[in-house]
Formats: sequence, C-alpha cells, structure tokens
Amino acid sequence: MFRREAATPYLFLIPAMLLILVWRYIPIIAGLRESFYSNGLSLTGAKQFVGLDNYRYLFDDPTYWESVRVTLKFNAIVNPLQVGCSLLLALLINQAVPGIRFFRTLLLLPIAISINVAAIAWGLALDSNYGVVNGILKMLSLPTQPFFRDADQAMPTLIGVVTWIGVPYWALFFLAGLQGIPKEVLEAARIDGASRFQAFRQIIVPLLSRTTTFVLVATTVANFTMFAPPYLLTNGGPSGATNLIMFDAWKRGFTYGDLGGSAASITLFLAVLMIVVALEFLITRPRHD
Amino acid sequence: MNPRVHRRGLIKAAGAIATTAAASRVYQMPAVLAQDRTTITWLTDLPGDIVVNAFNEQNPDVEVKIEAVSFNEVFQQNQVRLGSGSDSLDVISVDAPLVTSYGLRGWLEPLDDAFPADVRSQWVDALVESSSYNGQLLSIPIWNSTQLFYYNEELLSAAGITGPGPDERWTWEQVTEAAQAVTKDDVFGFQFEQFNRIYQLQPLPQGKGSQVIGDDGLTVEGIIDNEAWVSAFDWYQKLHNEWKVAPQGTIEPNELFINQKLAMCVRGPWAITSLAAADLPFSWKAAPHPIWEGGEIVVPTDSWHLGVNPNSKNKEAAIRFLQYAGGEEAGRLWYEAGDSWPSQKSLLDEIVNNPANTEWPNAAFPIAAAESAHGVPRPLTPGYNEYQDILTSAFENLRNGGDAQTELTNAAQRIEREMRKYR
Amino acid sequence: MTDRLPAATPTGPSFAQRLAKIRWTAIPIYVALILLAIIVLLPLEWIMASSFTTTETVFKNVLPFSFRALLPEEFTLDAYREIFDSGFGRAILNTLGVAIVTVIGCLVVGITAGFAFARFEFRFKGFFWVLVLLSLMVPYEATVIPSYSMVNDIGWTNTWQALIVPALANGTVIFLFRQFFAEIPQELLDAARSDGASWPRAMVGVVIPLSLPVIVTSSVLVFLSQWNSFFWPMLVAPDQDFRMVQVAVSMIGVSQQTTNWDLMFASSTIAAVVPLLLVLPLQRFYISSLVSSGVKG
Repeated sequence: MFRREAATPYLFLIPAMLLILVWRYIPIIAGLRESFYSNGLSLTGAKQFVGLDNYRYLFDDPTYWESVRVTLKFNAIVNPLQVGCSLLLALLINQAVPGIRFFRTLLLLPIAISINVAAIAWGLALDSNYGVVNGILKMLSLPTQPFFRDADQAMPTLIGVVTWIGVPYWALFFLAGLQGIPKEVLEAARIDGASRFQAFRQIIVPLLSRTTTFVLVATTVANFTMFAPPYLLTNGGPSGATNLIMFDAWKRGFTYGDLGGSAASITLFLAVLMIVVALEFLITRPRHD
Repeated sequence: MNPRVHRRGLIKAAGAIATTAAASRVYQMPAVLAQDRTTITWLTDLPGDIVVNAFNEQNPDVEVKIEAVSFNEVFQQNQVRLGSGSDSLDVISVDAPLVTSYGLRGWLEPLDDAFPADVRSQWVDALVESSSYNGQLLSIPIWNSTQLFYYNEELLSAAGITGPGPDERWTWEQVTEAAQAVTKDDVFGFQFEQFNRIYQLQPLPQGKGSQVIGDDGLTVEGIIDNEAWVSAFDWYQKLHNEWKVAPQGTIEPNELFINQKLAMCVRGPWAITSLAAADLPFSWKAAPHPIWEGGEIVVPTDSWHLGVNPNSKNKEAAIRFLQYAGGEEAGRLWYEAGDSWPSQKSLLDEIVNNPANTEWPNAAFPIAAAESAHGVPRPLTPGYNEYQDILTSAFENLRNGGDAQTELTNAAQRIEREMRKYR
Repeated sequence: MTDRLPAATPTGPSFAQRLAKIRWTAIPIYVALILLAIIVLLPLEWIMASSFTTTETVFKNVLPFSFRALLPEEFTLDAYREIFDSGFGRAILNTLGVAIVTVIGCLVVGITAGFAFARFEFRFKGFFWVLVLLSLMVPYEATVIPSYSMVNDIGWTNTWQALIVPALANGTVIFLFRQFFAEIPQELLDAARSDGASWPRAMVGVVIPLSLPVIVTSSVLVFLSQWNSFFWPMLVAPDQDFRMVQVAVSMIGVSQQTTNWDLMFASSTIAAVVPLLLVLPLQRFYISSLVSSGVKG
C-alpha cells in the first residue's frame, strides 16, 4: 500500500470522478429537481415550483400503479429465474464431454446480439399469425398462441424473451466462478462418497456465493430498468400487461410531454431500486469478506 | 434478373447522386462560397432530397441540409430539441394534428405575413384549417393524404364476388360480407393499413355522425364513449375476433396484400405507384372509401406540414424554403416521384383532367383526387399525442378481443386525465 | 472391460471397448445441449436466412411452416447491396471508431482510478469508492432525459463527444481493475518504483503489462456496450454522419408506411455477426480473466 504520496492518488482519480460526477450524478440531481416543477403547458405558461404535486398526480394515476405492479411481478419472477437458469446453463456447459467447446460457443451466442436485434427477431418469430414459432406449433398440430397479443400471455412471453437474451450473459459469470473452484476440492468430496447433488449443495454453492451475489444484483438492476422490449414490441400493452415502469416514465415524458411526472416517477424508482439492491446484498452475502 | 423495382432505393440513390453533384458544384464555385451561404437544417423522415436539391439550385445563397431520421424519431427529436429551445433546427416537420400542440408550447414561428390569404388559397381548405392555432398561421401543408379501397380481383371472384367499380362506393356492411366469403385458411378478407391509428379509423365514428373531440379541443368524455363510437368499434372488434376476417398481429397489411393473403385493404394513394411497380401476379383495383349504410362520407386526410423554429437564427431563409416547398413546383416534384399526395388544389385538378389517367392503374389517381374533397382533418387538440397513444392502446385491446364500451370508456377517462394539464 | 477380440490388435481399442467407454450418462447432457441450441439459434437462423431473400418471399414459408423458411430459396445479395447503398457501411465505421476510442478512454480511466483505489491510502477513499459503486446501480435509462438536456445545452447534439464522453463514466471497468490490482503483491510495485521510476514509467512498464487479462475483458465489455448501444445514440446523434449501427438497423428500410424486412434482416445479421467474431475467439481468455478478477467465489 502506498501511503505517503499525497497528491498522486487524487490525480489518478480525477478523470474517473469528474466523469462520474458529471455524467451520472448531475443528471440524477437534475432529474430530482425537475420532478418538483410543473410542465409549463397550462394556460399560465410558466414553469413553476410545485413541490410534491407531480408525485401526488402520479399516486392518483391508476396507470402508474399498474406499471408498478407489472414491474414488481416481472422482477419477482424473472430475477430468480435468470439466476437459476444461468447457473444451470453454466453447469451444463462446464461438463467435460467431447464437443463441449462447440456447444459452449453456440449457447453463448445471444451475448453478442443487441437487445434491439433480439427484440426484432423474437417479435417477428412470435407473431400470432405469421411467426415462426406458431408455424412450428401448427406443424406439430398444436394450437397456435397469441403471445404478445393476449393480456395474459404477454408477460410470460416477455419473460421468456428477456431470459433468452440475459441467461447466456450471466452464465458466463457463473462459468468463470465454476472454473475457479479447484478440482481437488470436488474430487475429495466424491471420494468421500458424496453424491453429485450433495457435492453441488455443499461445496459449489457456498464457493459461488460471491458470484451469485454479483449476478443477482446485476440482473436485478438490468431487469428493473428494462425498457427496450416494451418500447420495441408491445408499447406497454396489451391492456398495460407489459407496461414496465421505465417505459411508462419514458412515455410520460416523451409522448405525453409530462416531464415533471416522468422525473418524479424515475426518482421514486431509483430510491426503490437502491433499497431492493441493498436488501439483496444483505441477504446473499452473510459473513463474507 | 430480379425485376423488382427498388423504388425507394432508386430515389435514395438519385438523391445521393444529386446531392453529391450539388455539393461538388458548390465546391467548384469559390465565388459562391465567398458569398457566405446560409445553411439551414430540416429534420425529417421524408424523402426531401428532390425538393431540397431543386431549392438549393435555385437559391445559391441558401443551402438546406436534411437531417434524416426515422418516422418515430421525428417526434422525439422535435419534442426534445424544441422543448429545450435549441437552435439546431430551422425547418420543422410537423405532423398536421400536432400543430396545435406545438403552437401551444410556442414551438412554431407565426407565418401570417409570409403567407397571405391568396397564397393560402392554393391549398386544400381542410389542410389550411389544421395549419393554424389560435388564429395564427403556424405551418404550411406540404403533403396531403387520402384513402382508397383496394382489392384483389381474383381472390374476390374466386368467392363469387365482384368488387366495386371506380365510381362505386361500397358500404362497410358489404365489405364485411365479402370479407367473410373470402376468408379461409391463411387468407384474410379485409384490413386497414394503419389498423390501430385514429388517423385511419376516424371515419368510422364520424361516418355515424359523431365528433371525435369536444369543441374545446380537450373534452372526450361523453364523446369517444358515445353510441356511435361504441357501435363503430364493436364492428371493428368483431372483424378481428368474431368473424376473424382481419388479421391480428403486427405483420403489415401491405405485405399480406402483395402475397395474396389479404383480399381488401384501405390504403393511401401511394399504393397505386408501388403496387403497379411491383409487377404483381394478380390483378387489383381501387375504389372510393367505404361508408356506413346511410352514413356520411368521411375520408382521412392531412399529412405533413412545415414550420419554422422560433429560436432559429435563419428565419428568413427558412421561410423562403417553406414558400418553395409548399408551392406547386415542389408539390409536382414529390407527386411525380410517387412520394406524396399533393396539397395544392391545382395539382389535384390536373390529376383529374389528365388524359394519361384513364387507363388502369393510373385511373385510380382521379378517384383519389375526388376522395380528397371528402377529407376531414384530425382533431385539433394540444394533447394530440396523448389522445392518439391512448386510443391506439384501446384499439389494440379491441383487436385482441376487448369489449368496445369498456375500452372506450377507459380510454376516455385516461385521456381526460392527461388533458387536465392543458386546462 | 472384457475384450472378446484377439489380443493382438495394434490398431487400438475395439468397437466394443469404445462403446463401453462412452459415458451413457452423457446422453441427457447432449439432449439438453441440442434442445437449447435449437431454441437459441432458431430466431437467429431465420433472420440470417431471410436476409438472403427478397421482401416478398420472407413470409412465404412461415405459415404454413415449412423448413424452407430456414433456407433461402432464391438466394440473393440484393438486401446487402441495398443497405450499403443506404449508408450502413458508414454506420459500421462510425460505431467501430467510437467503440475503439471509448475502449482506450475507459482503459485509461479504469486503470488509473482502479489503481488508486486498490493501492493507495488517502482521505475520502471510502467516500469516493461508494460514489463509484452507487453509480453502477444507477442505470443510464433513468438519467437519459436530463442527460439529453445537458447534451443539448452544451451543443453536443450530433457530435462524437456526445457518443464517447458519457460512456467513459464506466464504473464496471474501474471495479474490475480495482479488484485485480488489489491482488498484486506489493513487492512488485515497490520494485518498480524503487529504481526511481516515476509513476507514468511504473504504470507503463510494470502495471499495465501485468493487467493484460483485465484489459482484454474490459475492452470486450466496453466495445460490446458501444456496439450494442441503441437508445442513447438514437437520441443524441441520429444524423446520418454520426449514426451508430444499432440505430441504423432500426432505420434502414423503415418508413411510415412499410418496413422492408429483408433490409432489416440484412442489417441485423451484420450487426449481430461483428460482435460474435470479436467475442467468441476471445471467449476463453475472457472467462479466465473473470476467474481471476475476484468475481468468483
């Protein structure tokens, strides 16, 4: 550790801290400030300080609460699902069977696809009349599905698409974690007569806890802030079934011109996100470090 | 050799070549450069190159530069840039129904002096109506639109039906009947081109005599959930759900029509050129826009307008461009390229009287020109974006089986909420 | 395993021996792998195949479905030609340029800051570190509108700066370097400095070469993030001269009336292939450096 160099660490930090302050923190504060002002659209015209009015307007808006419910439901399902599936995928592609490297490459492909392209691809593939998926279902004599067209199916479909996009990415982290586990430890356990399942539960899981925390937190942040799929595919519908909160906030600001309401929604959202992440940290990292 | 005509590609290529040529000409004339050419920016998704190049050529002291973005982007960019008072845009593309909205926000420079009454009379009346806000002219109509009823002759005759002649106006009831006869397997009977937009669907309630918004431009409760609306959209819902003659999903009706999976479609006159160029293996015809039995004739209209940014540093130059772009010469350039429907009455008359327009498919043009006379513009309200977006959601819900009364009542409530900020 | 064949078979294990050696328990694994591969690849393959056809035939083989949908019937490169005529090549170049500059910038920022956090003691260190960590939690979508207003106010719309500078505030890279530098033995660094070498010398001569794995990982992460970025570039730099590739994908062939699907598929295919070519060969490197970055258990 270098202790006596007074100015050097600060010099090293200037570029980073300057950038982070300007491009991450100032916008947050600007957004916070915006949430306390009116939009200046009424007949009186000017933008005024209105205190908590924007927040009150949000709380009265059933569409806002719908977006909150939808977001919570989405995250309650998709986060554990993604973490679980990523772990399973990592375990699968970590198997020492011949040809595994080929499959590993294949199954990690979605990482390279942007969410943009993935949304287009899946949006078309899941089209209720002319999508490839329904085409295959029909070929197998199964009933075709409405997918994004039906208020009940839209959310599960969205979860499916988002999982397809995210799991390979997170699996990569788990794979790194798995490969960091010394082989000797596992072999020792097998020699002691532990079944594969026991070895998994008692050795792998604890050793993966740091990775799991990281993946869980990162997944949560990514999924809470999910915006592109509703924007590109569903416009929040049908009947608000996929009206995730970031999309709702964006719509408020850009389509309805309610910048104050949009800023208020985002501020609240950030506060809640911090709390959720803090909770996750506390739960999954007990006595570590 | 692939016979497919890449119309858009050709236009883009032509535009690129022309722009390069124009640019190189500027390069070769140092005298002109020395004259300090004013550059103005026009943000748009339209194929504006033809008109811009012609204007730039005729006006050596002004250069219009197009910032080309996609359709959705135009709205977003306008919102953010004009909203922040930026001067990075001089000429603004305004979708007709948004003139009120932009006007209220002070995003459009008044143009009354630059366009006196006699100049305004060159345009179709309905379009001039939507160009103003609060008694001031804030924009000028460069494009127009109308809608025609297109049908695949063979699909209809295979079901034993003869489509309407060029002067015949079918009723929606007749359309339904024909659609039911034609729909089977993966072939659908009928769909609107913009199947979830109020622009396209407005004639349905209006044809039954209803308004689409209150006189104050803000009230919708009691209007969009009234009897006419409910019965019109109940029919719309049944098209998709009970009779299943209209496809759900996102695949565009034009795609389906070209692939002979859709028998009838209401589309704009731009389809005439593109269908003719596509050299299709089936014969198609166009007819006037359908109406309700005993209902009024209402056809969608209006399209893009141009305005000037009040914060622009080059307002005079921008206005000069507007004067050109709204004029007959520019209108003709765009019309002949097959991009737009003209907003100038003189051009519409020409279309009707043009002897070249007596044979199919060109014979469809005079039909469209006649339909223009029945155009009813979209509602003038500062909250048009909200109005449109909420109704689109409602229409989508209807397509997926929702109940007309419920959806429209909900939509009315939501729109009322959003309109509160304008009161 | 019993071998029923004559002992003298110099050509290797018999068929029966090899058969016995196959881990029959591996079969469910292969089944799972193949099923997953199909699910993963189906939409991608369809898009790629469709990019080689014309707009009209794109949906021909989808309903009723036939496997011809997965293989281009009338193979044509028209779509690719057309997108390059429409400026897609420019978008690719723009994105490559922006991505490379961003990578270099993030490395500079990440190495200096990460090193400072890992190897120095100074006042407010904890405070600054928390600031960095918190910034990781704040997704950029949440700050897009105010960030855009800022960019607009300082006149950075449609400029390279707007695409590059905000992306340099990358906390993940700082985090990765900090974790890595925390593990370096102090002696190495003392040795580098004891020759009287100044900090720049020490960094370039010793620290940077050491941190190659993290450099590769960070570079890949940053490159991908710029290549895949869509929303921010769409807002701040949609103009053709500055257009980024994902924005171009969403714009080429799309008009108010219609979407030229073949163009969109062609541009999507290219947009997807480039990062694949970059990431997959480096995959092993990437994983092993993640292993040593402390993200593991």
